Amino acid sequence: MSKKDIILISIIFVFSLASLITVIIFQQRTAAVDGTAIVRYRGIEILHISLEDGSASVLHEDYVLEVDTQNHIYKVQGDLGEVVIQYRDHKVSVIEETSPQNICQHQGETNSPLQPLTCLPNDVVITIHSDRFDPDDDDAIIQ
Amino acid sequence: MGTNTRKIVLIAILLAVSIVLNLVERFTIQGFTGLPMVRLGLANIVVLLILYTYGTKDAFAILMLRIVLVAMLSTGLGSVSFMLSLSGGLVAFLLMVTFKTLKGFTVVTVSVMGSLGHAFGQIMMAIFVLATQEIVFVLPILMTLSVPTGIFVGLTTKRLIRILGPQMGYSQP
Repeated sequence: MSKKDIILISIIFVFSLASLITVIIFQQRTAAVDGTAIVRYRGIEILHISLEDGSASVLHEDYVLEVDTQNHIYKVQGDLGEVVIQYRDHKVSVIEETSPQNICQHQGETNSPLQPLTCLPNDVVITIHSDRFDPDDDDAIIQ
Repeated sequence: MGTNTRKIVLIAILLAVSIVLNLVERFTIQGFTGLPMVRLGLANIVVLLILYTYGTKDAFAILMLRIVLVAMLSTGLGSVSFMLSLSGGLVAFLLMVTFKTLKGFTVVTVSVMGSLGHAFGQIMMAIFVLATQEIVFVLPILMTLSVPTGIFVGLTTKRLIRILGPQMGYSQP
């Protein structure tokens, strides 16, 4: 490795690490117990789950297959089959889906706007919306 | 065997190797990390090797063939995964070719830039296709992982160029 290599790679690594640490800190700070989990299929919002009590509002009946409010289990349509979402302790996670590697299930639970759950082969994305963090709002207050 | 036939055979073998490497790491490393879009980038070893020995055109052909064939063998050509691979591959290739032409940088930096380019390209496409801007927050994780994986791929390629380069008609400057 040349001197130029080492300098450039070191700069990239320090910058990347700094941005990673920033995101991790903000993930904890923006964790929202009163936010909303927004479930999108093929870019369309199909289901909202309240992180406060797990209540759900269906926006697209064709793509929401089942809403079990007692056990807080929600089944939505994915490109490869059903995607099963669970609400527990003010967090949401994907507990079952059909995909080659099941990466979506391994992403764990989220309640932070900075930690979306992405199920790529199924084209399903779950993001968290919180009044405390709005990426579109320049005046958003992050506490 | 003529020089041209030898080159075609070698490229075909290396293409097969890169497809296998890509599929293997899809089903091992990616599933293990639990993060979408994370990969060691072993298939990029082949693209870098071709880029340094046979040149830009052949390397681009290998890259495109690999992306299309891997998609056909796994998720399909209309899938989100294919679009992410394509955009990641194109941005990575652009950065690798750019840094290869710049003086003072070795294959290690070119590899790291390829790894970074892949992350950027994928994230940009994911934001566009999935219509979810929050995916941008995955970028710092991918960028941080790009450095060690890029160094590993770069050092491996450097060694391969030393071993296979002379047989592929490449003499190191």
